[in-house]
Amino acid sequence: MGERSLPRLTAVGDRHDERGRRGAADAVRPDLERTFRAEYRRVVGIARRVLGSGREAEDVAQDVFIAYGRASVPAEQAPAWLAVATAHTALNVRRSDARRSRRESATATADWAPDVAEEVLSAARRERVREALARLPRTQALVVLLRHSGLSYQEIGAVVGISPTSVGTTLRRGEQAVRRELDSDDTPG
Amino acid sequence: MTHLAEGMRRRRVDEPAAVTDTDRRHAQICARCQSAVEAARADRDAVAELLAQAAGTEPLPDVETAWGRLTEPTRRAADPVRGVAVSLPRRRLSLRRPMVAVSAAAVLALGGTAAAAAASWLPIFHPRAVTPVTFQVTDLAGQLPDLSAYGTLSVPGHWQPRPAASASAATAAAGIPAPTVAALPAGVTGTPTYAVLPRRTVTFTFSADKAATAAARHGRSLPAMPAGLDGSRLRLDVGPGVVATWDQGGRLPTLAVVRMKAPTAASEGVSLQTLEDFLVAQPGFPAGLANQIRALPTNGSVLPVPVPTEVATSEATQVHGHPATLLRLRDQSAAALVWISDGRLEAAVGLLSPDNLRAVARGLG
Repeated sequence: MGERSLPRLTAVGDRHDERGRRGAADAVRPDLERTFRAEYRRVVGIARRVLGSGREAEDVAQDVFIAYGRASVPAEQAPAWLAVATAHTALNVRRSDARRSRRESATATADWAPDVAEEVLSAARRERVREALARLPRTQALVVLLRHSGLSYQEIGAVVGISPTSVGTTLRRGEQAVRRELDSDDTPG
Repeated sequence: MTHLAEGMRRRRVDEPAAVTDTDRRHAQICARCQSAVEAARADRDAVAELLAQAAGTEPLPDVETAWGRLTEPTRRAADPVRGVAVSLPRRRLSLRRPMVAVSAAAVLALGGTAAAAAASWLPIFHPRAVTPVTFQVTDLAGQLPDLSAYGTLSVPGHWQPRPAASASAATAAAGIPAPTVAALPAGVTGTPTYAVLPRRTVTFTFSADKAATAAARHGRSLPAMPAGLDGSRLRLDVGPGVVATWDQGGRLPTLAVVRMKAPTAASEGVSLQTLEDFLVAQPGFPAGLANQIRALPTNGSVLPVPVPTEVATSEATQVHGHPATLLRLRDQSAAALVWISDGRLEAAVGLLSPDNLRAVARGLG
């Protein structure tokens, strides 16, 4: 993964220096702003379901749009592309540093709570939901996130690479697993 | 009475129109399925609520502010179209959020693990039907540069059938029901042998430099690669599948029936239309073949079956209502029937007449 990702990473960061050499292939797509304005909030919403409402979700959204600006994915497929890219990226970030995510989400919401004690409990429960989601097998987590972000079974099947019927099965099992985990957390003792 | 599958019960909650009439009628009278659908609905509602909670209670960020953040470092540089900068900030990926950057790069540009790959690949080819595409070998031979002139092909391991002891063993290994033939045509006897075609992924990485080098070596010019193609990858997924073979001791099997997951292709963002345009723009590409390729749907729903006209003829036909292609060797010694049904590519090939092959196809279980 890293071997090929780094050159592209550099290319994004250094695009101004390399503009002359890379030419039109590196141009930012003309629909970026329109797509950004139409999809940004939805993208942040998807990232927040994995990472909470801290700045991290917005960072993921920004980076996903940077990548979209360089991609040649057809504009009509942008919503599905952005959704699956956001879900994957957010899950990767989440798994890369679960402790940081837990800490940030617990503190990020505290400023908004009139009742600190109640908010701490609420924040802890939100964190448990995100933990349960992140513990799912990757395909289940993706399907749950994408379906609850409004993608159709057909769209999910296309981007994840499974049949629409398998989407239903995967979704069902993912939802059951999340509920089970949360229910077990709520069970005394 | 066949109950609704688990996935279909769940889909009925979200997309009831997608459920077949048969399943819908069954669900209306089956208490067990109704109960399962309601349980799925309850879980759906509960998880929707939980995910909404997980997203937190903060207001969503202001879009204008976020757009400004995306473009601010380069706002001074005017975009030629809109007069506003849209160049991407150099600090974003490489410095400030290294983990986010690595994840985004891995997911959006490259893949690397199976899971990451799923996000970076844009499905461009999911055939649901077949159609013949004819060409003359002599028109192609020597006209087009070798594939290696355009990039690097990566084929992991050897792709060869694995023998299976029985139909059930083949089914279990492939995850696809082994084909069974209701009535063997005259001249085909005995029990079949089975083999599993494992799933394989072939990846091709385009390289403008390689194309330019190869063109210079051959003293010819090639059209410029479309934007975004250089360095991007094309992935072809083939299999899994099962082959049933009836062999009467001759040099070739008398009959072989193949059932496999229809091949699919995905790209790192380049559309099928772009790839087709690039392909047919190559110097020496036969005009007749180009016209046939241009006539294919650009949504990747049709698999072209190549037919070299020097040795074979083709005919569009149907198998159980699915478009099929019948190929016949010009010496009438063998024929093949190919079609796609329910996402599976099926083929019956043999030293048989077209009518016998049609009968085999119609009786496949």
